[in-house]
Amino acid sequence: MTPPVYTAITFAPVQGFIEKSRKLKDLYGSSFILSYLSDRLCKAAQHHLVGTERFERHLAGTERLVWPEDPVVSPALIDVAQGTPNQILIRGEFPYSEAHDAFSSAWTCIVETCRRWIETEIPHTRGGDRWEYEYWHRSWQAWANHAWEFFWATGASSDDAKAALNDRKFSRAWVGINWTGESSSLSGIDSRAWPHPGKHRPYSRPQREEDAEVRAFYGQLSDLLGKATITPREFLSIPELVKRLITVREVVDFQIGNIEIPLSFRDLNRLSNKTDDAVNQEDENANREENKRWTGWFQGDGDRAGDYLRDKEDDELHQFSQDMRMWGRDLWKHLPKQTFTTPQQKKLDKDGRIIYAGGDDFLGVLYRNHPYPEITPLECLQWFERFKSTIWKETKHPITVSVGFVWAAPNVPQRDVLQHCREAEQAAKRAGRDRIAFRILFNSGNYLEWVCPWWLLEGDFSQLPTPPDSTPQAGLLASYCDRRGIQGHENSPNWTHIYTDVATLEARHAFQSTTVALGLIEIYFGKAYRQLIENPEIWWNRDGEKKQREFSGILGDRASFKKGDRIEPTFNEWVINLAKVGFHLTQSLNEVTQAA
Amino acid sequence: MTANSNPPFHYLIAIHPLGLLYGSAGPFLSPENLVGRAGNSFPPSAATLSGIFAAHYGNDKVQDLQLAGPFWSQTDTLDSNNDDQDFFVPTPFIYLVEKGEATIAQTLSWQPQVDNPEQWGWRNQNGELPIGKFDSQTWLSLRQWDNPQSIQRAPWKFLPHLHPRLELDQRRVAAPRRDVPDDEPNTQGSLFLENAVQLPSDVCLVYLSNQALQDGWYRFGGEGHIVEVTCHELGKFVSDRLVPPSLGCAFALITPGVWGSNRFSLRYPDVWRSELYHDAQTGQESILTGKPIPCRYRMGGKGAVKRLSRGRYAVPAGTVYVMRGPQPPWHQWTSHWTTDLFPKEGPHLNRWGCGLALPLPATLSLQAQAA
Repeated sequence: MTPPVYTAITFAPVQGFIEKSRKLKDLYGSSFILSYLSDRLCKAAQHHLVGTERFERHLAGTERLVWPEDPVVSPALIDVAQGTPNQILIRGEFPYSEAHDAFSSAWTCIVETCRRWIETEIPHTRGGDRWEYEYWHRSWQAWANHAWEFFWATGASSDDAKAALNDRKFSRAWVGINWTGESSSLSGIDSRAWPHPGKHRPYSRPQREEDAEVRAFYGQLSDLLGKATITPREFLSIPELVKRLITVREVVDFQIGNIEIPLSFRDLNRLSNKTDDAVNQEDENANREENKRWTGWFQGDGDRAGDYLRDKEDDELHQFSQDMRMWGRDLWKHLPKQTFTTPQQKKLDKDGRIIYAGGDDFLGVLYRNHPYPEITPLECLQWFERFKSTIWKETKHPITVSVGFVWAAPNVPQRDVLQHCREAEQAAKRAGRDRIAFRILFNSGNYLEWVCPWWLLEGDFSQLPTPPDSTPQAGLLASYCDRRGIQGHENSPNWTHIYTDVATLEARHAFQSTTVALGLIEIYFGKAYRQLIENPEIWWNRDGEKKQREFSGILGDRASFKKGDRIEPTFNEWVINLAKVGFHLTQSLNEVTQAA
Repeated sequence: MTANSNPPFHYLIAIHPLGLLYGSAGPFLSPENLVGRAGNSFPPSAATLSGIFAAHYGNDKVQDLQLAGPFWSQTDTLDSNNDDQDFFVPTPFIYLVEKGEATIAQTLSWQPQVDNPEQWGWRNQNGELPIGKFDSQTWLSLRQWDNPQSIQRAPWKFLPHLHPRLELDQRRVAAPRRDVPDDEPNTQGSLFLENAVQLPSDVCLVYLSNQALQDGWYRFGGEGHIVEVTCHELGKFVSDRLVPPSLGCAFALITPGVWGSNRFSLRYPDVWRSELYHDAQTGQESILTGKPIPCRYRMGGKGAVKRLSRGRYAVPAGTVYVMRGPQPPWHQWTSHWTTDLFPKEGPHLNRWGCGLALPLPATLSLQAQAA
């Protein structure tokens, strides 16, 4: 009997590809492309391993190919291609050459579709001259061939295959595409795409002439697609242009036979191209650049999923992947409901969007556009106050989740917001996992951060190691009570009270031992919270024998504090940040408007 | 440039910031391209320092200039008369440091796999694949190069810094111009975000050089930030360390390396293709490297003012290569492949220390030779 063979495949860059984004459209575009490529790989693997006839019957829908017959262990293929994770594990040997062919032809198809669309739609300059597109073919070809690192490995078990895949990544596999002339205005690297890059001759042609040509080209693109999709002042590199164009219905319709745009993405286009809604038309839904409003961004993923899955059978791996993908697919349904509705609006509209949810990984944004009032941080906070217990619980797996939430000022560039999201998520992980990091990000780039375990935020005291004499009635932030005795989110207590107290005390270096911090807790959150929080037992995480989390302490892992002297300052810092971040998070609409 | 057997470096150029330093990346700032955290690039490359030399001595006198960096140092370990002259270089990727720790937990080497001796790969000292999350971008003292014990993390802090852009003729913040068409460049917003960098007062940036630079105050790295430059001779220890008799079979880069053709940047020079191990079955190569880093030099165009011309990608400093046979030391790398690799429009990239490599400790190198 021959030993079983497993194939593991992945590609890169992923985070870097998503991060270079200016508009929400870029995020959708890049997340779509990543999912599409994964999806194509999975389909090719099925085709190879079950045979053409069987695969065609499956495609035609006459006979479903389902687990355990399906050779793709993970990701579980559910009916949406959106959010397909990019590490693929296959039962059986799927040869390198076929895998690579499937991958590169899928990507080439995307790139070619965009290029041909531009060449067909913008054949001439505004002056009527022909754009000499033959000059840029070499650049497009380079991007078709070298945009991705592709990794492939086999092993005798799924764990072996995954380990071998990590092995391959040690030496990376990139080829950098050199560029000439000016860079893209979005990422600052890679040359801007325009029809005549091969004509770049700094010695014989003035820079000004070249710039005018580029501007004219982007002006034409903008006229064709609308300013909401691309403005004439943006100069994008080829991959950035591809990301932008792939979400435009006209572009993908051009060759719809070859690219199957998942329904959810067509949906996005329909929304943004609605002509009957003048407001949406101008103030494009998926674009926050024009909206000078604060927005809430969250990124998260399950804790230690790798550990949880180690040594698990194929069936369990597949089931896990299936459950996570179903959860990801339905995540958008849990977004806060649009509270301000007009007759035209669909009931399902939400105050936010999920950008991707590929299994246990997710990224989303909470916002509300004109003409509706701005979304308040308080609304976001209240959503997160039930996130772990109601939304994450539906994954049905006993792993915990770490989330980074960034409440971002309107002028922070989107790619910075994304970076902060990632850092906030890392902060939550670093502080001990199973918690949320709130980050308030100002236009100056400065930020405040506070990390809180879910149970404390939600007011769920069931996991406490030793129950206190009296348990508080609500979550920590919801229990805030200002000096006039006003308590709870809805009554809008005045958070300035604790905020100014902390500022004064900090200025006088009052936070030496934990006495002052605990005193503040008692004054503003009540005796019950003081009793709870002053007990060092709840400061530390407790993990079971198999690393499963039994309790998440407010300061995280005891082991990360080797020197005892850092513990009290860290605790004080936690209370200080609670006051500062809590102040910003609990602002309701009235206060926001007054402040502005 | 021909093969040069003379030691390439004689001086340490130390940069002490007078205030903040500039840490933004990207060629320009605009309302749509406010440079914030995502685009930070620090410390500045050796090419930036090259600009000071060129401005100070003129273009003709810097034709033989040889620089390398960036590195950093504690100010009190700069003096060559002192026996402890030292500075920090990027840690080779074979040394794995757990998050938050300062000691090296695992050392990778290119070795046969325990369960499959036919197949070679990167494994730790126990022959296992490393599991866990490790810190990247750490720094190692040059004195500890052969026997690394502890690492340092970058001592600088990024401080995002918001600048108002003032009207030229009035003392108020410029408002974006709505009256000019969109395609005019004059539509700048009123604020831009600079990614300033703060260095502790007892720490300085360090570059290696073959020419001295007069001590004094210079503008360095953009946005008018002023630094104090001091120039120190290289002590014998450092100088010997930088000029090893041979690189051996295993070596690590301490500066970014740019390889490839005019059109593509690659992970290793083409002439090394037959020297590296390629597993035919798995495609595994005897390289330990990271993601590409964009790399751009202000060289190109006619006249005194050179402009950005060609962008390339570099392999990060810390990259480790394992070769079939011992390699000559960096300063003796022959010109035939550097000429092939670097485009004709500028000087050789080794002028800016591109791919400056140091041999890894003999034990690791020996294992490779046994392969």
